[in-house]
Amino acid sequence: MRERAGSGDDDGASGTGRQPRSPFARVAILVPVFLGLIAEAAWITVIAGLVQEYVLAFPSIQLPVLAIVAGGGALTAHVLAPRLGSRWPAVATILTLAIGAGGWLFVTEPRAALAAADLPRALSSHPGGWLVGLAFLRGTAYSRLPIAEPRLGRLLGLGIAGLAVAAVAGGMISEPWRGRFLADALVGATVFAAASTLALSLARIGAVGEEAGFDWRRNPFWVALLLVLVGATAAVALPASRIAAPIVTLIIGAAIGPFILVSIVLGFSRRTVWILGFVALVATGFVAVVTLFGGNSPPKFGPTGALGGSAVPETPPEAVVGGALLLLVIAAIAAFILIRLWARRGSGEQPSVHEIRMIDRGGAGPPRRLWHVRRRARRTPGDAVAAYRALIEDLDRHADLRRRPDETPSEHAGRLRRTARTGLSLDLIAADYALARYGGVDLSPVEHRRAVQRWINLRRLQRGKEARG
Amino acid sequence: MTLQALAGVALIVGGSFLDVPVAIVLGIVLLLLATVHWVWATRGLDGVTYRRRLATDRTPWGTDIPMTVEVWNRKRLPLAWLRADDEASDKVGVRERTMRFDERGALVLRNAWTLAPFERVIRELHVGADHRGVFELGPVRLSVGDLFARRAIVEDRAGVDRFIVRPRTVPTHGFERPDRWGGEDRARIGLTEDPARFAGVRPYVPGDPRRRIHQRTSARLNRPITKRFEPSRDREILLALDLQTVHGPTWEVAFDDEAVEALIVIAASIARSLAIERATFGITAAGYTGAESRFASLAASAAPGQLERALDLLARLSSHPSAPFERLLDRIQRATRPGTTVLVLTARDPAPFLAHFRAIARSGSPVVVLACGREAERDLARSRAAGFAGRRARLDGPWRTAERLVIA
Repeated sequence: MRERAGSGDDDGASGTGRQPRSPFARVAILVPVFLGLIAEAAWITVIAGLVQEYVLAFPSIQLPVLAIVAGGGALTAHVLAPRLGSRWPAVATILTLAIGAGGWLFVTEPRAALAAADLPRALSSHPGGWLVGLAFLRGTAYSRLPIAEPRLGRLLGLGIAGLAVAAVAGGMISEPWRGRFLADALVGATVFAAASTLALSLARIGAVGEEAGFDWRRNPFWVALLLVLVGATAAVALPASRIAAPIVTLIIGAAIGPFILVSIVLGFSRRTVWILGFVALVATGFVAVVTLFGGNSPPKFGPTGALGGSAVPETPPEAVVGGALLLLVIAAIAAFILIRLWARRGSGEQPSVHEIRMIDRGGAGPPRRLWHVRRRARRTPGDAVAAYRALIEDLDRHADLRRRPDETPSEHAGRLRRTARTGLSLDLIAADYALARYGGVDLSPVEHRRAVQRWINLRRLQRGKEARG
Repeated sequence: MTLQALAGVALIVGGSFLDVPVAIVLGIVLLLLATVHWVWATRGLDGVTYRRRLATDRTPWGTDIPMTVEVWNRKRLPLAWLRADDEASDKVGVRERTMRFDERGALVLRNAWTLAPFERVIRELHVGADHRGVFELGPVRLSVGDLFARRAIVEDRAGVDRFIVRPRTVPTHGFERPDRWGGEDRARIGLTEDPARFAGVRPYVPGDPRRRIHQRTSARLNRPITKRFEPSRDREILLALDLQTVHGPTWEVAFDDEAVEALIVIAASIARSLAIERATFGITAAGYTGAESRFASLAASAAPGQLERALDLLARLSSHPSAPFERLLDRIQRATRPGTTVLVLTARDPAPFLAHFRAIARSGSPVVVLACGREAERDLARSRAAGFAGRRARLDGPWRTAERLVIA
């Protein structure tokens, strides 16, 4: 048992007065903000790529640039908004437009078109660049600390839905833009999901801890588990997304026929069948439309419009994914080291609520799940004594059913019978047990079989009650 | 299956058919969120123990009770957060925490922790109340967050801790029981002696009544000798508390809380003063105490612990009356042993009760009125005019800050 005395309010965020936050606490608050900004940049990257794809151009502004711009937006708002007061919205709008224009002119094509006084071509040549302004605008929402949990919740919820729609919409364009967009979107969506999930988790625990005086640094084990799970999911999801498509299609294709057949046999009403048929018809039509207009994209155009492969060298998705995973692992290790460091430092601050913390595994821990598996796999008892003991072991899990230390088997059985928990079966098994165990009576094989059968019946009855709650 | 999981499955299936890996990735993420949430929703509170311990169940007003709150996560799953909302009675306060209202509108003491596997945390707090009374903490509503810190499960757990905040007491000045015949205690100044208790003789001193001269002993000793008797004081005192501070129907729920609390503080202070003198005293009032009876009553006694019992009764006493004071006086007349001094503590004009006072006096129990209302002088004059002894009881400030009780 490790024991550690410390404070319930490492940051002094509760009690009668609020103490100023330490530098480490400030960093702890900033982590969800950084992650949120990365998530914002990730979804804007995907949308910018979609916009570029729809004008048959490749995206030119990558996620790190957008993340820096979003961070700049947060910093600008944090510094300027309090000083400018009511003038800040106007200034922010001008800055957003200016930065959007900067993003638009980030590549040479619109600049060349402007030089040639061809405004329509300039406007249509790099529309995705305007979304840099959106990144700045979204960044300004992160100027207040700590970041509000509902904001990140909306970001995650709407972001996933929006990215799914964008991905489906982007999949309808022909190659090579489709492939490039989907590859970029895959990375963007993965980064978005990981960053927004982590940001939301840290912000949530920050919101709960704000009133109780702790933050995510207090529980390094939780943070490590969270990082491992998110990292593992990101690592698994990318290859799984390539493998899953044929498997899911195969399984559903193979299962839908028998499923409908079994359903009809088991009593689908006529109305249900009609509804099912209608849904199937609509689904077939949808798939047909997608297949006709989006699935096959035989002609491959280069950037010049000529047939053939893309002139722009595409980064292989595996390389991108590998790089992202490597970065994620490095970030996870660095974060873990920092977390350990902060957790140690965090506990040394001035306490305002005295608290004793310890890791206490106790003498008898709670039953493990595997125990249940083993218990279920237990063999049927061979005689009346074993049946009674097995039954007592089953009942021991329930406080109101277990045999008390001062009860004889007969008294225990009588108590459960009087409270209508069991019938006479438990009395009979208890009597067999008492006769065999204490009376020195050799029970007949028939009586042993009866006792085992009673054990089976009582066990089934008990499980039924447990299932009904 | 939750909406989130359904959406995840839909994204995976849709992404598979449309060959959009992004949708599959997002679907997997949603399924992960749903699965993690399910695991914590089913297992989050398994093995979580929550214990609240009060160092004592009684405390004087203004003194907090040390309390420990212990949580123990007896399983391998870490808890991003565990929140315990202890339902609390109105006016309960915790020194280290701000009481708040939860989503049900109940006043709660909110504690939160983040717990590693098998982590056990004992937090030390101090609980009290800014009002006398019986207060409760509990039941507790436990909620835990899943791995992504989203609220996973909420569970109400029974278990209520009660504690009594006894009324404030202040030193009492000017309150001495009158010496009188028939009492059981020795008189303070020895002037009131009971002629039925012959205690011996002593030499005559000028001023001794001539009728107390022991003639035969004086003749034998050839000098004047005076008889000596055991002095005595009041036998029993019953403090009759009038909870109603303004005239009107008893059932009117409106009452002046500050005036009632001042009355209670005066009554508690007098009880303490009597207990210090080891007097035999009791308390009665027409108020609710949580018992079935409409009348709160503590029989007169000088046994050890009588003060604590009196303070407990005053702590439990409702702020509004349960019956008219006249009915309480009738009850006193019927149930009180003759010779018991009935000390009537009231903030009202005693005129409507004079007939009841007379009835009590006729039954052998002298009545002394302790006036403590705003018009105490006038009330006192009326009771004296009716032939009853009276004193004025006054705190030297509001009941929360008063330093002493003056009885004049």
